[in-house]
Amino acid sequence: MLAFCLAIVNCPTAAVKVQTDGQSAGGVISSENHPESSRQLLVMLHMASPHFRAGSNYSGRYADDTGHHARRRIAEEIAQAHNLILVSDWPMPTLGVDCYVMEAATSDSLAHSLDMLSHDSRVEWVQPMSSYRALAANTERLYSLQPSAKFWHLTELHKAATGRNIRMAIIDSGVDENHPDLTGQVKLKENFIDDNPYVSESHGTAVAGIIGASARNSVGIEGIASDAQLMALRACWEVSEHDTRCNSFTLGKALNFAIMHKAQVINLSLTGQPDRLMQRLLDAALTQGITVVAAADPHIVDGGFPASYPGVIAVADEDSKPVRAGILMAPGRDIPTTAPDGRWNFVNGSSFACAHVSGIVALLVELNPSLTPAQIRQELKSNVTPSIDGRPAGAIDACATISKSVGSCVCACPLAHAS
Amino acid sequence: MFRAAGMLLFLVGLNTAHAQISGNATIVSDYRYRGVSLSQGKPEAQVDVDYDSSNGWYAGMLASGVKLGYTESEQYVAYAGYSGKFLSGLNWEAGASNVRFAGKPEYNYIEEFVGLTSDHFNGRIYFSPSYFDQETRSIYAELNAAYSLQDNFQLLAHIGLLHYLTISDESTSETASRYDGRIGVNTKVADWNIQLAWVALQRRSTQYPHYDDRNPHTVVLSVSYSF
Repeated sequence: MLAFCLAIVNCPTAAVKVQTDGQSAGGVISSENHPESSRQLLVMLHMASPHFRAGSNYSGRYADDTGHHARRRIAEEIAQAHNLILVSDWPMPTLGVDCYVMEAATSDSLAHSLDMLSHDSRVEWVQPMSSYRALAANTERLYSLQPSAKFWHLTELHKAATGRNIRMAIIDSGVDENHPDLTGQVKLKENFIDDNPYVSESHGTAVAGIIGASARNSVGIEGIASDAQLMALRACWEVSEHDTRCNSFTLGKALNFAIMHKAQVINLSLTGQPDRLMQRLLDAALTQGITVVAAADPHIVDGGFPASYPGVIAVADEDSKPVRAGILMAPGRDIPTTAPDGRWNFVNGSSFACAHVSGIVALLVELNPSLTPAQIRQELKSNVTPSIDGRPAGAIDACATISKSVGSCVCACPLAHAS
Repeated sequence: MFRAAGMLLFLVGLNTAHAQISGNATIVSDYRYRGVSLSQGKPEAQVDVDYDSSNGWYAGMLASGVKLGYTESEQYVAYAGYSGKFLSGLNWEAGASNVRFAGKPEYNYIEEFVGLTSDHFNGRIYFSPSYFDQETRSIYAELNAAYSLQDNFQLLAHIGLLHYLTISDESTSETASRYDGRIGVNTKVADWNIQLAWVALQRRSTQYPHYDDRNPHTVVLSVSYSF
């Protein structure tokens, strides 16, 4: 018996060109690869539900991941048959699939492989890798008041709710958790880009500050949901100071993680093309009652994806030209917020309007945990401002929204009653 | 034993279009089954193969060396079942297993089971009409948990309760139930799994004819290669 086992162990595996970092599961896209996503595709293989295995309770693994080896074998066979390079893989138990990243030599061969693999019975589905970008304009150093303090009466709102213990997933670039305004606010951080250490970046740090900066440290700014538990999920990387990119694989990993870790609100301050993996994960999140807030691109009629996806709360900067009905408007200009290395900065763009709304959603969830994502969206939509105080009509009225949820006026009462 | 092992290896080679077949080759320092040593505290080798269809059906087989009393033998466990998913994300399953001992047919038994599985927990209830040829109906309930300590390290815990629904004439009520537990750590290095666990069994006068009660608890090391 011992000899037999050793014989199995020594069996050579099929030779296939596999570009990995040596990890089988939880592999990564190397830093030099993620800009090359135009030649990459995502191949999904069915992951069987966990079940009884004889002997596994007492001699092997409780966490039964041995089926991964079978899927890995199939992925290697597929890659070899279609002359693809197997780049990385990641389990997506939320969707019941293992996701494999494969890379074609040319864009032409990618299209051919997509067609062939879409008819392969071993493949659950195959799709091209989509690219996403954060919706931030150039930052400017402007000295103005925090819009949420002026228009949303944040101090008074916080007497009603602060987002206490609400699990908020920020799927973005890296967050500076050691920033004086964010110290202790980030409960969990993960890097879904590569194997390198987690790094702090501008966009993610700015979004995190708007949502969850501390309200009790007497420095800097005050987050909309200052008592929320932030999950800083790094799925985007900075190409340059004002260019933050992501792809469907890194975003998919982060979304899967957020769902599995019971996030209650997911902030997606980014936009790109509709993507099947993302759509399936958004469906899973919404089905489980997770509210998803996404930034709407003011240059695209429907706001771009994922803002345009049914059930997702789409948010644009209230100073931008309205794009379509149903997109919520929130402050997105001259927003003071946290920046890496302990700095503060002013930022502009729908990314930051999105962060404002994620914050207010956290307050609503704290006040009424049984609200569904659809109900939260309706609450926000039904409490918008008329054109007043220099703000455009249709912007979210935070006071009215929270007052309605509390059942009594909490701030700006005349305005709240008038709306 | 070798014939069965060869059949398992043949199944691995099949890997049909829709199915996924995987397996493990394992060496354990002591084959503890529900807290009871089936190897008299000695190392044993095991091979298991598992087949998953794309529609939720699964089947598999385990072949393991055992020592029952002073007799060396082999244990074969064949099992099959169906696993599905609730909308909440929780998984359920129902299945049956057939346990056979080469040269010791008196110990053969079958079990039916149902279970629930989440990301970190699973629980099952097994029913056997004649567990280890005791000619008594039995239920075994178990709860297992896994917690990730850090990358590639997991903390594992298990508690089980074997309960005889009917007691044979020579038994006392003291032998009607027995707890077993296990706590350990598991690490994964490439295709290898290494597990170190402390296993304990409630000390009772036993109904197992082959069981030596002198070591109700022990530390078990297992090394598995997944293929």
